[in-house]
Amino acid sequence: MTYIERPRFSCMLGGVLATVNSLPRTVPVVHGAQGCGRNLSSAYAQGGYYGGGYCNEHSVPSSNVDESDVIFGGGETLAKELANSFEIIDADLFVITTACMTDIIGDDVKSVLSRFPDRPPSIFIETGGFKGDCYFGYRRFMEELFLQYIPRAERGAGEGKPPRVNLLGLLPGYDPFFRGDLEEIDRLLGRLGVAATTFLTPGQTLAGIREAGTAGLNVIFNRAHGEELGRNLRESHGIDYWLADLPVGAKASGEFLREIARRLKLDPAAAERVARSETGRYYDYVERLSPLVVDFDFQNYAVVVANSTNALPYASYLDNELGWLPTHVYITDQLSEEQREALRTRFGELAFSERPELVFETDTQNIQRHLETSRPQFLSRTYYDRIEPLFILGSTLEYGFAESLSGFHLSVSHPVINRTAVARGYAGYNGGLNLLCDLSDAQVARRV
Amino acid sequence: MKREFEADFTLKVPPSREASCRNTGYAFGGATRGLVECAGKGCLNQCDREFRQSTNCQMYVSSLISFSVKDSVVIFHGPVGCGAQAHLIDYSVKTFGARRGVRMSGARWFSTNLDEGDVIGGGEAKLRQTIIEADRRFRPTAIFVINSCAPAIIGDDLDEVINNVQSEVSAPVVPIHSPGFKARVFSSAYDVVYHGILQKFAFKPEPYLDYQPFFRSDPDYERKVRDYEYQKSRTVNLYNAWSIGPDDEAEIRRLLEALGLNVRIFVEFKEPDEWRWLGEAALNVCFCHVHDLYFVEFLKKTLGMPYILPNIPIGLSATRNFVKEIADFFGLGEEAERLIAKEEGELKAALEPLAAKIRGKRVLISGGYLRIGATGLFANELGLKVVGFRNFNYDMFGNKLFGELEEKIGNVSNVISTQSSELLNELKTLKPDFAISHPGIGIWLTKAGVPSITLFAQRFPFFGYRGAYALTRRIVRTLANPNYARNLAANVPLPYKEKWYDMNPYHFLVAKDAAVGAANAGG
Repeated sequence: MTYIERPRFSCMLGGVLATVNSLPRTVPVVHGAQGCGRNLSSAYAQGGYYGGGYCNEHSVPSSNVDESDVIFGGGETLAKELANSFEIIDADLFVITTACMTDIIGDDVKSVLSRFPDRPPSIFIETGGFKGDCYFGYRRFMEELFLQYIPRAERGAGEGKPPRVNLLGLLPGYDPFFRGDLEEIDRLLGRLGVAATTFLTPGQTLAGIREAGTAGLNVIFNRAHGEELGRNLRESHGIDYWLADLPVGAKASGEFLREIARRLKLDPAAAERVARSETGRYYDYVERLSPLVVDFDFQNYAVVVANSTNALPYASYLDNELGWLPTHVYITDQLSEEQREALRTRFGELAFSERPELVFETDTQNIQRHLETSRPQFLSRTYYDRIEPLFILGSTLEYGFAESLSGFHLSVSHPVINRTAVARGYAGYNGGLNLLCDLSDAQVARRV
Repeated sequence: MKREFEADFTLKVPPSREASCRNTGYAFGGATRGLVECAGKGCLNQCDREFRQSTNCQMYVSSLISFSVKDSVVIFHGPVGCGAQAHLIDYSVKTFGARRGVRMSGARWFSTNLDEGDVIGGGEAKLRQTIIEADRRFRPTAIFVINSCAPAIIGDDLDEVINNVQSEVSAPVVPIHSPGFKARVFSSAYDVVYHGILQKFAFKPEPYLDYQPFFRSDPDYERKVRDYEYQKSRTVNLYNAWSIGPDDEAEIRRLLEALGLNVRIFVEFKEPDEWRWLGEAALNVCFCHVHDLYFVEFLKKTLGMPYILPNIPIGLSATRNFVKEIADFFGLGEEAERLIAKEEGELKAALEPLAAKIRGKRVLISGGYLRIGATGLFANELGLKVVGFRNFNYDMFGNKLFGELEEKIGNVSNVISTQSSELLNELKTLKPDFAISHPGIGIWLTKAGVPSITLFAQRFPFFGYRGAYALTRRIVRTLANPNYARNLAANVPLPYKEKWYDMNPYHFLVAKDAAVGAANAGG
């Protein structure tokens, strides 16, 4: 792995903290230096201002190891931290993590934990930042959550109950619209009579999360890490998995519902009915916007800069739903060749009117350089084929780039600094409308 | 109170503040008198706690000055998480640079992105490549290399890499030795950054590069030299910091220029080439000496430049003292008195109707000690009741200010804590109506139903008379409608068990030394 200019992701611990701080009544205890818990909380908050949380930033229990701990071992410091955290922190689940320095010096956290036989429910996971990025952290944490906390279902436990699925693969903060996305998918599944565990949205409970073992299917919206996560959870809990694209807009959502029905062996006609009624409502809204779209020619060329979870679904929506022309899709997280191949394969399966170029690039300026060299945008002739009108769906880091190309811009991927996410999502029918609305907003915002 | 500061600038890495002559403390529970006494004895750093919560680290704080140097590049040497929150700085650097009339390139930074293989094999080669790429890509004015925990433990030799690569790059490469675990007192970052700066840059202008020397053959030579020296003798350098906004600088500049002084402001929002003019002034003054004492001491030692350490100019009396101390140095005491009298008269008349609305309200103030102390003095001047101070850290350089505070508002709760647990527990006895808090702290108060104003925000003025008026207006505005905090408190749970609120907020403090225990108990 090489250096990166302005990376859009954090470390393994960063991903674990983002996830833990989004679970109900769950509190992390960081065995690390004093800055890790605080800084990494601020890092994921850059996904549309996803700060706050039950116990983060200046509240994260943290052993705050110092130089003497690094030299002599931080086990005793951790033991005190754990004892006192268990005493005063009001949580139903603790997640004990490590950090770079404690992993390097090799503190034996397990033996420290064994000194607390009556401890409240807790999960231990080694999370030295150098071991991987935040997406890897998410995957490893979810695996440990299943292994250490979620009971494997008895055979036949789900019988007589509504079908249940787990929604996995979206990382809080690094998928800035994860809550809106999960809530919308949960709503759609509910219309099919399917119960879903989202883990991360408001209203989830640990009791509910412990039932995740009874699910019939893990739906994983993540093609880079999903295969491994799905396989490992199938091994540990016997749950089948499906690597799905985040369904954005009416077409993708309809396909999603039909596929869910097929995989859960539900009545296909029921899925069809839901899709039809949702699509009807969806186009009622789309139709109202259409005079603007038509009269002002809101069809754009598009450049998508996003992580491996969102880049393909967004590009596909722009092409198949809105009739735009994506020219480049940049995937900004750090991937192995195997993961890239999985994404290339999926990209090949997606329909595009004109196939965009798929590029894997983590480095911020290299993204701009790639576009400017592969399709020169400033030539000293009168007639040449510019990417114009241009719309960049990327992170806030692409704002200046879009401006320099006289294009429009919408922040959809981490870091999202110039807008807030709150309950917004881009998945499903409502998400498709949200995205249409936001893309249009960007184009009318200066009508003042 | 006698203040002594000593530093050995020849060391490779400056000691953390808790280990330096400052003996800075990072844990204390008590009241003002005990805090001041303990700092005076130099035993404050003997206090620790057995339940800790995460807070700022010197690694990240180091990046604040580094990013604010005009057109610099910052390299976070470590795994990709270190520095991952730096995206938020970009707009801030650009916006508040523009408000100062400085066009900043924004936050340009790299992560060396160390992985498991690097932790085993060393990260030096990667750092070297990153420095070369940073230079080639941006042609920056300086490259700040910020070290983090992992490379510090595996023994990457920052200085060695930098010295070897320096001849291959055009930007000065500045080593910032700031692994988080090496300092509990995160303001150690300022010493570390200045240590890097003073190693790498010169602070005297170069003839023919920065200025055209006067020619001896010039018939006006002596007059020109005399004029220049006169201007220099009327020039004061002020030192800004991340927490200090453009309006703050403008306000103090306005007051000092009204006295006929030349004002130059360093080191942020300037490029290193401009720092060479730093030596051409008669006096160094820190806006907030928690940041810059290390550096002005260095300038005193190497260039013979005197400095004074007035408190940060927030509120009437602190601004008066700030302006007065500088004016006295230049023999402008009487002029300053007249200026201050005029300014205070105007401000007091404007404050009166506002102060009447908030008199007697209880306020809790959290953050860096000089800023909260000065803000407390002002709150007292406004007729607010200051119920407590929460210092991020504390040392004897705050004793003059907190001694004055004890005289004026009594022996109130005065602690060293960044922990939300202690803060929330303390609320039950302190019962503040509102708080003034460092960013990152106010959220916990707001969740507990106590509205909080930020202790600093670059978009608002705080310093001087205009700052005092603006801050007062914000207090009035905040107290006029606390519904947001009330609603949040009614609907959002806090992460502590009920029993915690029955315990002493400083239950987990441990005194490593009997003297500290006594001082704590005395508080």
